[in-house]
Amino acid sequence: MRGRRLWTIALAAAHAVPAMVLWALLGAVLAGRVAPVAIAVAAAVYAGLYGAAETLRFPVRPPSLNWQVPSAWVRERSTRAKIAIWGALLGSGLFTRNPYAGMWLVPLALALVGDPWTGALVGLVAGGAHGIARAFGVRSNVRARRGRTDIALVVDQLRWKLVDGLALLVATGILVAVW
Amino acid sequence: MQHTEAPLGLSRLGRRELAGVGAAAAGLGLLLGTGAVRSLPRTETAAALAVFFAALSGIAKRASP
Repeated sequence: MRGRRLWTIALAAAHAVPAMVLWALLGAVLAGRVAPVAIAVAAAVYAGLYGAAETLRFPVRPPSLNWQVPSAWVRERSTRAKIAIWGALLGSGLFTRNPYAGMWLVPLALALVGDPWTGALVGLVAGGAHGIARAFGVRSNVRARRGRTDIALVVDQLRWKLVDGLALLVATGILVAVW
Repeated sequence: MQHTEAPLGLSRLGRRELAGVGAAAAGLGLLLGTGAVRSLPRTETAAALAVFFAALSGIAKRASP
């Protein structure tokens, strides 16, 4: 029981800490650099188009790297090393394939934050939120995927794309109304 | 009309119905954005959007292979 709890904490920390550092840096770099109205227009257009595409199931792929962690990087490594490698590479959500368009609204939203210090703080929180959510997803997948079919995963992904699409459409309305 | 299997309680909706749901979502966003009475503060709104979509993406990626 205690071992499982420690494993969960280590997994969450391994995913959250690198993501917090990376997104805080991005927040500091992006926030307050470009005219907010231009960013808001770009964000509203992006959220509207991809939100509609995901809601209506149009086969549009969101911008994403196609890279995945090579199995040679984790093969024959200790559990600790595996957790550290997976956490560093998956925690931020930037380096591996992401089928949901909502992720790329995060840097656009960070660019809309008024100043670099606030941008860094918001990036820190956003990175932590993504990293911890990703870690719990990895943990639940380890438990739930035994015996699950690929079809079940595809259906899950369709469901999450609909949620993401509707959330993007809500965000479009918010961006149009606020900026 | 082409029908699309859409889970989340929106099963067997066609594209036209899904477009209606999407338009309602965008309308809700407009309503939230105008705050019904006064406009939401910009920095806090941007921060909330960044954190929300970061968390949503992290959660949703559990359904990625």
